[in-house]
Amino acid sequence: MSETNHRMHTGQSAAPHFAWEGAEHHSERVQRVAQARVVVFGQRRYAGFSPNVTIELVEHPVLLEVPASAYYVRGMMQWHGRWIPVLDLHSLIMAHPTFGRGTVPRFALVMSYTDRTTGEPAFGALGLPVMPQTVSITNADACGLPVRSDLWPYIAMSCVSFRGAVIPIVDTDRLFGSYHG
Amino acid sequence: MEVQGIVHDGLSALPVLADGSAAGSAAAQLPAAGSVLQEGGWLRGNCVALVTGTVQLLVPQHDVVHTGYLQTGEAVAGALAVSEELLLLPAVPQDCFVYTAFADAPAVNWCWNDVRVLIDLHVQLHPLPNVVLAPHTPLTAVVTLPDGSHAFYTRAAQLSRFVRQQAG
Repeated sequence: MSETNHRMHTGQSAAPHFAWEGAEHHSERVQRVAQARVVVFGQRRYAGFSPNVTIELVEHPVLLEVPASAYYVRGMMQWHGRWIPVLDLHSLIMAHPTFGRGTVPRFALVMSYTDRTTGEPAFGALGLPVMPQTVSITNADACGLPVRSDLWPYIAMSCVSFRGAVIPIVDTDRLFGSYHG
Repeated sequence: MEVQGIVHDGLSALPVLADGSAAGSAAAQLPAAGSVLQEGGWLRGNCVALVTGTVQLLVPQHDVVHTGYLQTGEAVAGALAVSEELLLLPAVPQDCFVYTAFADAPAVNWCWNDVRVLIDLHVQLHPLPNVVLAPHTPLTAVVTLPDGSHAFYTRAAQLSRFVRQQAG
C-alpha cells in the first residue's frame, strides 16, 4: 500500500442523502441544485453518488483477489487498517464478469455505507478506469431508470438526465449491503 | 523442483512455527490439541496454510489428517489439485508436490504448491462482507499471517463441498 496515492474528496458525512445546496426561484417553481459524483463504466454508462458518501479516491489500488467470490468482485483492498471490497459496476450491471483476472482498475473510489446487520458505518469501493466528475444537477433533471439492466431498481434511489447521459443515482447501502445474485 | 519422495505420516513432520522458532518452545502455550479458538474477531490455534499458485488458504490443523510429499512422477491414489479460483484441475500440476488429506474425506489427497503448519497462530480475522460472498463461496475471512502474507480462512469441509459442487 505504500506506493498507493490517495486523493481526498470533500465528502464528510456517511449519511446517504444529497445535500441540497439551496433553492433558486424560477417563476413559481423551485429548482433545487445538488452535487453528484458521476462515474463512468463500460461504454457511455454512468452512475452517480452523493458527495456525502464518496470518501477517497485511491490511484493504483493494490487488490487481493478473492477466489470463488461474486462475479462482480475485483478483490479486497487494505484501507486505513480495514479490508474493504472493491466492486466492478460494469460487471454488476452486465450480470457477468467484464474484467480479466489479474487486472487492476486505475482507481478505486472509496465510499461509505451503513452495514444493515450491525447498523455501523462501513466502507466499500468501486474500481474505475477514470476519475469521477462532480456535476450539479437539479430536480428538473429527474428521469426514469435505464431499462437495460433489471438491477438498477434495486441499487438506485433516483435517476437524472445530464447533458444527454442517463445517470442513475446509486444508494451505497444497497450497493454494498448484500450479495447481488 | 525435485522431491525426494519421503512421505511424512502426519503433520508433526512439518514443525514450522508461526514465528519461525522451534516447535517445542511454544508447546506449553498451545490450546487443547488441534483446537482453534475464534474470539472477538481473532483466531488462535494451530492452523495449516495451503498454497495454490498465488492463493493461500488457512484451515484449522484439526481439519487435516495427513500430509505427504509426492515423488517426481509419482501417482497417488485420489490425488487432485485446484486452481487459484479453487476449481478442480484436470490433472495435478508437477509443482503441486505436497498433499494433504482432510478429515471429511480422508481418501482424497489434495495437492498443493506448499503446505505450512502454523503453530499457535494468533491472527485477526477480517470477515469478507456479504456483497463479496456468493452463496457458494467457501471462504469466510482474510487474515494477515506473521510473515506478512495474506490468506483466506476456510474450513476443509467447506472447501471440499465447493470443489465437488463446481466439478458437478
